[in-house]
Amino acid sequence: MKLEHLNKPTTKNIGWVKSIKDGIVALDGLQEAKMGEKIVGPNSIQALVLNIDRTGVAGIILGDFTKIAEGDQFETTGEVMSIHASDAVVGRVVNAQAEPIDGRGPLPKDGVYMPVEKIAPGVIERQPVNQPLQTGIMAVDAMIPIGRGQRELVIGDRNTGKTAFAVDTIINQKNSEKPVVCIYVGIGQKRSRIAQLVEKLEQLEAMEYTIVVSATASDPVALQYLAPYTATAIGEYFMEQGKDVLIIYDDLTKHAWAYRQISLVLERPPGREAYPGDIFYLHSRLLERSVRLNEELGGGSITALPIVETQLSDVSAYIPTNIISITDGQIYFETDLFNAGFRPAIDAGNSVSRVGTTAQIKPMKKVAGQLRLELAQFKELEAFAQFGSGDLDARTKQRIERGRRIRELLKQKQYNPLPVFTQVALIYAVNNGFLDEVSLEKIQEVKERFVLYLEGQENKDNYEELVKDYFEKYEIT
Amino acid sequence: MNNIQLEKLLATLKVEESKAIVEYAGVLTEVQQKALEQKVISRYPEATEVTFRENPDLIAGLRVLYQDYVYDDSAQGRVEQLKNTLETI
Repeated sequence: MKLEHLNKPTTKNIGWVKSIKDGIVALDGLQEAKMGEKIVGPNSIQALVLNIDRTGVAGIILGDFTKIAEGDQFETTGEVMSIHASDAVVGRVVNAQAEPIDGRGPLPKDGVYMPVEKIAPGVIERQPVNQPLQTGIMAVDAMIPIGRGQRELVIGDRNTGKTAFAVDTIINQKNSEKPVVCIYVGIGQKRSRIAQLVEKLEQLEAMEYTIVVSATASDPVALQYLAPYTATAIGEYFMEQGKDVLIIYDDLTKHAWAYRQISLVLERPPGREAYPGDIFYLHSRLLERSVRLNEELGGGSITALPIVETQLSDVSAYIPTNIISITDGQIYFETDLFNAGFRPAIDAGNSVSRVGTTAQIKPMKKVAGQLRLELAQFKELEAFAQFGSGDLDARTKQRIERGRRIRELLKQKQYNPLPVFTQVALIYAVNNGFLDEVSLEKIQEVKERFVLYLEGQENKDNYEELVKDYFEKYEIT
Repeated sequence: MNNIQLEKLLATLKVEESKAIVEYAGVLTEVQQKALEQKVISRYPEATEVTFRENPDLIAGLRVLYQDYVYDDSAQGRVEQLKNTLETI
């Protein structure tokens, strides 16, 4: 323990609380305070400076603001806001200040302090995104592939399966060849939902490599504002060790609401929809930190899956359009598909991955192109499917039937991600007509049997032979 | 409050703002006080007056207060620092 600093006198800059409203404190004094600086008050309660003007300084209290009263003294620390990150945080549930809240005791202090705000690595420090991050969801891995280091937006109305998709992606990392540290950030969620999620991850043995950062709806807005940055700081700790990290921000719409509330109390001029003028910068500086570093810096990566909730499928609203323009693609969840029983309710037509097939393994690239084409052709012809089959030519009928089988095959149960070679084999089977003679109602049954058959095979690389063998020997059409 | 009263109040506040306060524990001789006064004014040139005030809570040493700056060279300040250092372990 270093104690040399105790030999020197200290020079502090202090301020006094003028007012406190909803966790936002206005102070007199603090002439030396800098933007984003950490200041400390009574009972070691920390605050973050967010406003500096001629009337004084204002900041957000990161703690119990009911313990702060008018006249209380705060002092500058000369430090930016930082959180403590260490290997021991994996498997734990923490708050927006990276303090454990899962009742399993304190975290050891043998890690490092990571700044919550950081300038993203420049272009020289990066390398192209070309390693796949398998989600285990066939619709995504085949048609909207995600690479390590990419930012892929998950967007859709409430209750369309966005969080379920994110959780399945976490679960699928269990069998990943190169391990991925997963971080789930819950912003403005219900506490019960976070508890259920943690319980499910523990049940499926996914908490062993997952960190949950929680800033629920009942937490102060200051913590809801800080949580995504804390999660990114923790992610950067692992990325700088050369590891791959997946961060799920659930969701950034509530993050924007929290920042709007803070800005309005700070009396910043409101803009469109009462959001402050720097609402774009709030998310752009967060998501720019998701990168793939070059080999000199360890080759680690952060893949971001920000979730945005739309109202009545309006993707042209303010926050959704902001984040669509920041991210490297979006996965669009549609309510109609969800209600019709197509789950995951992914609209492949309106979804895109700007990284594309660069982030796919070769076998998947080979089979996925045809799948996408077949599905697109089916969508165009779907309207004609309502006519009697007697009015359509044989080729059109075949395309419609193939498309129906593809759509049925893309359905997946929750908590049931598929390994990539199983997906390749299934897509190969449907592309080459092995499921054409199977009735629609039997597709799921045949799929389950085939998946079980594949699990028993040692060499899955030879998927073409495996498919032919299976369907010729076992499936009666 | 009329304009003249307001101006008087503002003038009083400005005078208060430009005062530096030196708190000390123990004994401070006149020579030491004079030397300290010069040191404080050289450090904070806008300070027009330096007042001295005994504060036994400091245990030993001194503390200089000027506007929102605090220069702390007291035993109590060192104990506070030690407490903060131990809390981070």
